Amino acid sequence: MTRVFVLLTALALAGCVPSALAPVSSADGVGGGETIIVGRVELVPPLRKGEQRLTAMGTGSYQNLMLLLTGERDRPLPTDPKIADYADRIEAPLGSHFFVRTRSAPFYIHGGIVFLDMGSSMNRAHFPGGIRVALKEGDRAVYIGTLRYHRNEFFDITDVQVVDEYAAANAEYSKKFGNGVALRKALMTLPKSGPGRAKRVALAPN
Amino acid sequence: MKRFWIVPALIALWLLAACSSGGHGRSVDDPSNSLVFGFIDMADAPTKINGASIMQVAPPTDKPYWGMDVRNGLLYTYYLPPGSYQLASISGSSFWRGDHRYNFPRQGNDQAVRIGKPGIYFLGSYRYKGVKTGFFEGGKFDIERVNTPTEAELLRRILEEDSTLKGTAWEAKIRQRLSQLK
Repeated sequence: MTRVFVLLTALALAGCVPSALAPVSSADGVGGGETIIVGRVELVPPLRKGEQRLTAMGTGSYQNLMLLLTGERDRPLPTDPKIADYADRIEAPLGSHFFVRTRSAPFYIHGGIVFLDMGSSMNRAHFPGGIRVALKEGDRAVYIGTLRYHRNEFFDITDVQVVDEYAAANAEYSKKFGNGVALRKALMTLPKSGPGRAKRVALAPN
Repeated sequence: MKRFWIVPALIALWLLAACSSGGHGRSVDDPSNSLVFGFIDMADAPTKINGASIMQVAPPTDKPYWGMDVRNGLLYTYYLPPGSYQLASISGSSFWRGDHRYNFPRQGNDQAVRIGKPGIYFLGSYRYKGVKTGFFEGGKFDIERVNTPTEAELLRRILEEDSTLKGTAWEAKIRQRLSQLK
């Protein structure tokens, strides 16, 4: 029963949900009114061996991957995201730059999801959002920065930072797309209150 | 409010048995052992508890699940080496409702402990609360902290009900802890 449930979830994510923002590998695939966004997500410390236990069939693609749920309006990441909430997600391989295309308009990152268990049980970690990405009409390629989540062994998020690693990102971008279109820097902005900072770690006394 | 998943499954108990083992071959008197214990009142749950496992989240290990002894809502293990742990699942069965496994979340799990030095660690006492879900949704539950039974009451139960502890180092350690709690 458990495996069936997890398999259904995996199949739903793979097949039935609205598509993710499409990854791009050349500027040719980017239409008018679209922008290539370049960014990175980093966990500190990174996922260790055994922290993700994805044993159900078809779930291997979620290994070392964070799903960034996005939308035009700012809203909190739902506790139990519905299938529709995964529309226009960014599938960000942890620690590597992502290159995806989207409409040339500002949007929000509602938060991130990393699947921790998909097998005998289903478990995921949520990462706070409320993060604004300031795309503008006419943007062709925009660097939005590295979203760095600090966490402990219980996946409590202790800090969130946006880090500027433009030089490295631009070098990778130029290698991939050439020098025809400049990569504009417009770093993501965190909400003023700070998303989910320094969450309490509940530990037994003694 | 945190939500936890319930998995009614015949295979669940087998999985629990297969994935966890009580002491991982450690001696009950190993001086690096810690006793970790807690209580869950399952009066409102579909089943009572007859199995439980705690997950080692640090340091990394290939065998993260440790089985716990279960006695009428009381959960405990006295084999844990220093590290970080959180309650992973409890399981139970009843004639009418079948086998259930109640999975705890890996994130935001208050039933967690970071063991720096060997000792006695109380996870707390909790009460099961059902959560209404849609027809096609998996079952969910919540647990809320309660004041009773107290740490001292549960330690007394461990001493009285677990005959295997008699004559071990734990008997003296638990009595010492009880004297501190008075």
